[in-house]
Amino acid sequence: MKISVRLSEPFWRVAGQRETTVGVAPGQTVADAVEALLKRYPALTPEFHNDEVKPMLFVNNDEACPETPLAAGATLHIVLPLSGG
Amino acid sequence: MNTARIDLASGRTEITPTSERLTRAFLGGRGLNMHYLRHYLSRGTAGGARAVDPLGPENPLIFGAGLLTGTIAPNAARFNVSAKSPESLGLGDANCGGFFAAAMRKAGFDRLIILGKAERPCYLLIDGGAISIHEADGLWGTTSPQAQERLRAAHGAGTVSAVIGPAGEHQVRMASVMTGLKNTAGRGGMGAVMGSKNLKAIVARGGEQIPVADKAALSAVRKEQTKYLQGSKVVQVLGKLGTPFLYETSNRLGAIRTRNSQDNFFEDTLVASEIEKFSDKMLACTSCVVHCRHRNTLGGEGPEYSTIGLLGANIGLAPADQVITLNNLVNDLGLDASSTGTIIAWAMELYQRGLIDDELTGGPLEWGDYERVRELVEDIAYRRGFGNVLAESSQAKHQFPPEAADYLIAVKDLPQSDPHDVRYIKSFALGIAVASRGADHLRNRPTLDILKLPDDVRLKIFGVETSADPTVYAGKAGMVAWHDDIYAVTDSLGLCKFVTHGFNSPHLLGYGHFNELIRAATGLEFSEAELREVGRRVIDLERQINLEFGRTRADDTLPKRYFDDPMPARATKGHHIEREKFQMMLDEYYAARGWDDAGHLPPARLAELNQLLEA
Repeated sequence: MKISVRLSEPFWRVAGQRETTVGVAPGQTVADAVEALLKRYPALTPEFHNDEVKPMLFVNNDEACPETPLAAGATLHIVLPLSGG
Repeated sequence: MNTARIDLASGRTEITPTSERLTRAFLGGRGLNMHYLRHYLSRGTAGGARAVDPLGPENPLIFGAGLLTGTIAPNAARFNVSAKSPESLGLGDANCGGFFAAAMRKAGFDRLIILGKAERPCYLLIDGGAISIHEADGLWGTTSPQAQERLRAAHGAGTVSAVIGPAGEHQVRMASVMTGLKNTAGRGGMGAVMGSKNLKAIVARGGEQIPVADKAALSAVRKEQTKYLQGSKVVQVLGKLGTPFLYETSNRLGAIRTRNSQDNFFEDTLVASEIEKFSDKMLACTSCVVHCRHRNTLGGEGPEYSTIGLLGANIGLAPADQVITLNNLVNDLGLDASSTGTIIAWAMELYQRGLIDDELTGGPLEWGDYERVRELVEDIAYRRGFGNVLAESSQAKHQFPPEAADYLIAVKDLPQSDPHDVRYIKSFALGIAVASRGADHLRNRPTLDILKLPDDVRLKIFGVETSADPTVYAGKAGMVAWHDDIYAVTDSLGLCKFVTHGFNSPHLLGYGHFNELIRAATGLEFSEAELREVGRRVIDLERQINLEFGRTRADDTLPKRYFDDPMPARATKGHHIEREKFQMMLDEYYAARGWDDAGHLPPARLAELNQLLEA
């Protein structure tokens, strides 16, 4: 099934586009979608292994974690979780 | 390095070396400003600090550079402007970057204490360790950029000025002090205090060298710390995109203040890539290694995330070019963007609810009406029509029906500074409730709370057990107190929070790094514990100042909406602040600070502060 992925700042600049789709099997999770994403855009890999700040994940409008299950048509948002002035 | 006391009424100036004892106790910048603020508020007026009219001649206005400001320490550009706030009627303190503070120190002064009121408009020139007062009749009425340009023409291209615009001249309660096109001492109406003294500007000619204890050591520390900072992902992102990228994070979470916090998400038209279309360069302050400030193609600098949120989403305005134009306008006029956006949004909701009408507003006041807002911003700065009402900022509540105060997003009468809705992240909520100057994220925001760092990392940083879940109330007080202390030290050293440990990053410069810089720059030795103790002392001093203003535990609270109205959408849907749990957080916070249940200082600390005051 197809999952939409929306990349926020600064990740979309690494991938070169804001939105893409990845395929995952029914019952698979956010972690599987991220794995598929990183296969397509290997340059994003260091962003997910940075010990300073790691991406924050949302599925549709809910905060998600790698174990969050995915349903067909879902949108995975990948956001840099910083805050301030 | 010297401290100057300037009496604008008599024209007398007294210059003394800055006290080593006080430097050790408060470092400089914000900390030492607070010491002098308490000193001058406590004398000369029957009724003490509470009775001081913030727009009267008895209110001191203090410009204080940080202990490291103007040296080559990374991001050492900052100064604080402090006084009793005409906006909150409490503690007023605004922090600012740019180039002015370095020039002030290079002109021989790390602190200017301005007293009294000049008979006519004037400005100060500080140059080569001397201070002179000049008439400013020809400058009065100019915008901030115009005033700075004329002063450069008069005193040379190498001079740097801190000025007020028309808003300060008209004593608008949210008027800022400006230097450069956008660097702003914005919070609390310090520009109005300056205007009340008939003081248009301070011009610094920074020709001298700032004394440095060990130049070679400072150079080596700078090199090492710069390399460390430039390896940070957070620093890299800020340097490339500036703060506008934060809009997308808050908006996706459902935490961007929208239409006066009736909504919590807005249009994607204000994301960084849209703002970037109007940016042609990234700029920096003195000795900066981050370079976070956009120069925009519409004639100004910025906008920052705060302005995008508060003059964008919060007033229902979506086009990026219009938000940038408003950003440039508030800067030219010398208005605090945070307060201006918050107060206009408040008025819009009051109009929407029928609590105020055309008779007062002089016409429709609808969400997203760009032309109306643009006109209103000018009317606020010049105190015309309904703008004259809003120029009172939070104090305008006295001119509205009583229930209007329920919709004001402010704490201690200071409009909330940043566009992040704090109902979801409980530590953010506690932070703005207890911040000494009112609703402000730059006093103690525990930005690490959303990073979900591992337990051992959080314990190592904060030294206390905390939860990784931002919606949990328990255990957040220690986190806020930890940020209180390190931000107070950062502000007292004159450093920028974007290189400070704990502000968005578990890395960056902490007490150990600060000590390396202090030792090389000044020769002073502190242990890490001693340096944190300075931060604690500053926070305690600010608490005492607030107590002397008559503030109590009841003032450490939140806007009514944050308690009563659940957030309407996205991941934060349903979240609000539970009153009982908030009081529990407050109990924990007071305990973490060593205060009693009413928020009073321990007697030993009060005695120490009083002894320093007498000295």
